[in-house]
Amino acid sequence: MLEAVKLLSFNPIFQVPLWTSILICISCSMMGALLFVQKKSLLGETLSHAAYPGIILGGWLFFESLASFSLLFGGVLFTLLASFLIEWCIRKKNMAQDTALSLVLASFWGLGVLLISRLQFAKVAVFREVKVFLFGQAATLNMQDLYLSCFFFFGFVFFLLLFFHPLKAFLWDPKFTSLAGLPVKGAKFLITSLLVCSLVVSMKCIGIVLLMGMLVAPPIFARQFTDKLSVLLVLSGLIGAFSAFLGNLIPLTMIQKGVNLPTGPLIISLASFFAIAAMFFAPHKGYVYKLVQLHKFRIKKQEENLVKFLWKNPEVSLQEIKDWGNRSFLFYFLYKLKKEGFLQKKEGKWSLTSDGLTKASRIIRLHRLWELYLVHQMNLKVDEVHPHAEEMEHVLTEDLESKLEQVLARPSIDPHDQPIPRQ
Amino acid sequence: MSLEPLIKVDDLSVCYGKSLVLWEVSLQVTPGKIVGIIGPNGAGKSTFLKTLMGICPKLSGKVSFWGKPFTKVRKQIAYLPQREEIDWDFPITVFEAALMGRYTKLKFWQRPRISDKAATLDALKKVGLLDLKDRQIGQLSGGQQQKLFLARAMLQEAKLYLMDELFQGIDATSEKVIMEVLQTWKKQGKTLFIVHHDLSCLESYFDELILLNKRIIAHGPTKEVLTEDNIKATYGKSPLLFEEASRLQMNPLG
Repeated sequence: MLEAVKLLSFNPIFQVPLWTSILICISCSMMGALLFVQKKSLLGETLSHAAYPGIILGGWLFFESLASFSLLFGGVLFTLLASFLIEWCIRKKNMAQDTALSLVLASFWGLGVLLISRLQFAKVAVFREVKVFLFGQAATLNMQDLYLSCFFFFGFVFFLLLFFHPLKAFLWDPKFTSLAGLPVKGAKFLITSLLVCSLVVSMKCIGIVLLMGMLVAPPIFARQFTDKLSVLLVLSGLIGAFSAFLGNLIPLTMIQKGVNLPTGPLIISLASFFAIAAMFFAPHKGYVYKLVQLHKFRIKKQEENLVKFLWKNPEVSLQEIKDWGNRSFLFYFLYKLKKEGFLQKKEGKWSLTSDGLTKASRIIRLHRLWELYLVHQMNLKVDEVHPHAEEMEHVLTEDLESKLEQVLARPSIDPHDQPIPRQ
Repeated sequence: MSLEPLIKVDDLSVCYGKSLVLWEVSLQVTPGKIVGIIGPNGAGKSTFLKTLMGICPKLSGKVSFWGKPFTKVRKQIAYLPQREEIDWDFPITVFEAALMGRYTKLKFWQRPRISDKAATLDALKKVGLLDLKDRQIGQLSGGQQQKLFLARAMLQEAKLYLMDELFQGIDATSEKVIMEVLQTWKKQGKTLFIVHHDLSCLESYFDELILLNKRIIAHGPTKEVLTEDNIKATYGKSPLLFEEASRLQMNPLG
């Protein structure tokens, strides 16, 4: 591993692909985030495939005069053409978005496959160049690619910084933006050109087929951690860069063991892995986090119910607690509450300590306050409110408690004529 | 002294595909009023607002604000969309969303200034959303979402407000807050158009009513317009027939 890091950081043969793919992945991830928030991710998939016939034709016609630029040139041209075609289908022909995208993807891709079947006999040298674009090959990246990706990266960041606010308005609420007189057409043009360029620049590294992954995975990852567009963009870029770094590092370590791993697919797999992991484990939004919170709440509820039971029945034997019901993990709860100083056991009888009494009276208080609130403020009947208060007594926070106190003017009696314990 | 009409609409007709949505609508409204646009579902109320601003294309007719076309006076006009038209999953906080009201005053390369941010906090305070300013917009309730729109519109400092279904799905307390904001705007001489779908509380909300069902049934001060005949004419069974006939008119051969 250490050897690989050394190779990566000192050997120029590895540095060019490394830095090129990092820059490309950052641009692609941030571009993906812009599409992601508009819910238009599939546009990237269609446009990247639409570049294929362009790359082939560009190479076929102009490879002698423009070398590898001819491929990029053809790619840009066809991607633009495809994006205009999609726009036209949706706007003028009233076509559903996914229909328009599928149509364009299939037709352009079909044309590409048709062309390549001829190209492999017509021009073998160009054919080899074009084949790299299909699945990507980081090892083929050269200084020229590095300059290009560097140029594009800084241009992209420059535009983002300059137009961040109107761009945000446009992405969220295009109608408002256009009514406000901000240049909506300009924003659309900017996003389309950035998208087209970021796709074409990335193809040689990641490949047409997998490029989509770099557009969706990083924003999905980032969205699990933030509710702000600016943070979303930065975080997407960072995870993109990290995936690119690992995607270059791992093949180097593996090749020493005789295993050959392709960089492009590895980068995509890593980014997707991070995205899926984040969907499960991210704090607040992750699935596992939510499960844990739910579980914690259940434990709290059980605990508080036990304390409440002891408040209503001071000095009970273990058998009586068992008879009360709620027997799951009973010993665990008794042990835990005793250790925390809420319960005590004297001569075989369980009772609350003074801390336990405070805890219990707060729960009772919340229960009765909530009942009173439901009856007085929400006009519910007195005999309807108990079940709901049974739940809410475990939920209410101190903040809500004081608000309830305020609304109800520090009451002392609940709707069932029971006293409300004071703090 | 005759006030110059704030909105003047002449013979406005709009159609979607082959069905006529609005038919030869003409009206004039003078400033400083809260005007309700009332009518049943599919009467073309929202379309009417959108056509005024040129979001929906019109078939024929002319619309002018202060004697000028919309594009010349767009900064004077604020629009509140229906809640369903907005993407509430978007990664944006309440504060950022409200701040956008100020974007109308900035050139597109400018960033919001400190004074803009202060004004935003002030507007959020007025509608009672200050505590929620860092929440993602999807976490707001229906009433709070409307208040957010209201705060954004407040920051636009427009003279004319066009609001689509402002009171839909709103609880009583939110309604009170919103009504207070509207009344202050009215006192400042602003004009408010509000699309409204039901017939309750009309007199307390609106100074003037436009009863609309594809064409204007009645228009005038609320008390005068709100008669049983007018309501029947607006909400009666006729729209179905009218729609069928107008479709025939557009395409006589079937």
